[in-house]
Amino acid sequence: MPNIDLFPVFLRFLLGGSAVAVSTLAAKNSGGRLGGIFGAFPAVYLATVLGLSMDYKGSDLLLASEQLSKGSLVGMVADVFCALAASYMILRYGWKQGLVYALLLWAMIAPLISFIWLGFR
Amino acid sequence: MKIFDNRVKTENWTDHKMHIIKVDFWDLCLRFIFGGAIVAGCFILLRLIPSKSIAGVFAAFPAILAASIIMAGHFGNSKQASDIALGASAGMMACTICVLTAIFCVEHLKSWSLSIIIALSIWFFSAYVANYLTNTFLEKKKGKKIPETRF
Repeated sequence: MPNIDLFPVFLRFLLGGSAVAVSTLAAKNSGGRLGGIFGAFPAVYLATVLGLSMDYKGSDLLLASEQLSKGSLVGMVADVFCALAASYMILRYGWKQGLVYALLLWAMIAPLISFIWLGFR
Repeated sequence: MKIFDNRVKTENWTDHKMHIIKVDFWDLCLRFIFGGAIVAGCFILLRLIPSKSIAGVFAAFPAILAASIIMAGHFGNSKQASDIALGASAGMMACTICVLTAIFCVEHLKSWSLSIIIALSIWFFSAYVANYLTNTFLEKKKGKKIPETRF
């Protein structure tokens, strides 16, 4: 088991959190249709890819971000289904149960798609 | 945040405003913690597992959607939470197109920073189109406006 320093983990926590917070503030302050667009900013994905650039350089970085993006693509496709299911399940079971069911659905769909498409490479 | 306002029953304007500020503050805190936890957890997974695609799947975990639903459910009602989830699905389609572009550019351009910039500009246009399409579709079908999507 590799040794994990606490400082890089904390750095990523700050990076991800501030990316999400800034995009939320931008969405709230711009308002209207532009606010809706900035609200859908892929902040977590972007922060993760930026975090990769701290670890890898050159062609390693290209390979690593390509593999990470392929995984992310699977997760995002599962996200669309999860969001659609959430809007239906929340109305039917209430928001607490509906949210849990939708997240469980995501946890089932995402490995299924990645197994079919990537074969856990 | 207009969508949460119907719960406020106070006639006093300052109370009303304080309530909105309080909701906004907790909303921001929850998003900061969820977003940070996902990125940090993804980094730990990258160190533990040699396969990077599993960490990538984890990076796309809908934590921010969960945060929005929790806020809407706690301070509003289930109907509003359901509307937010429906609106977020349009934003997620745009994110999917963004990631697809990033993969294509990284494979063919062999330049990391250029592909991120191209992916973000593609994201902006696809988010605009997805937002426009869902708005017009829902207005035609149900006569209601879709709330702001946040993901």
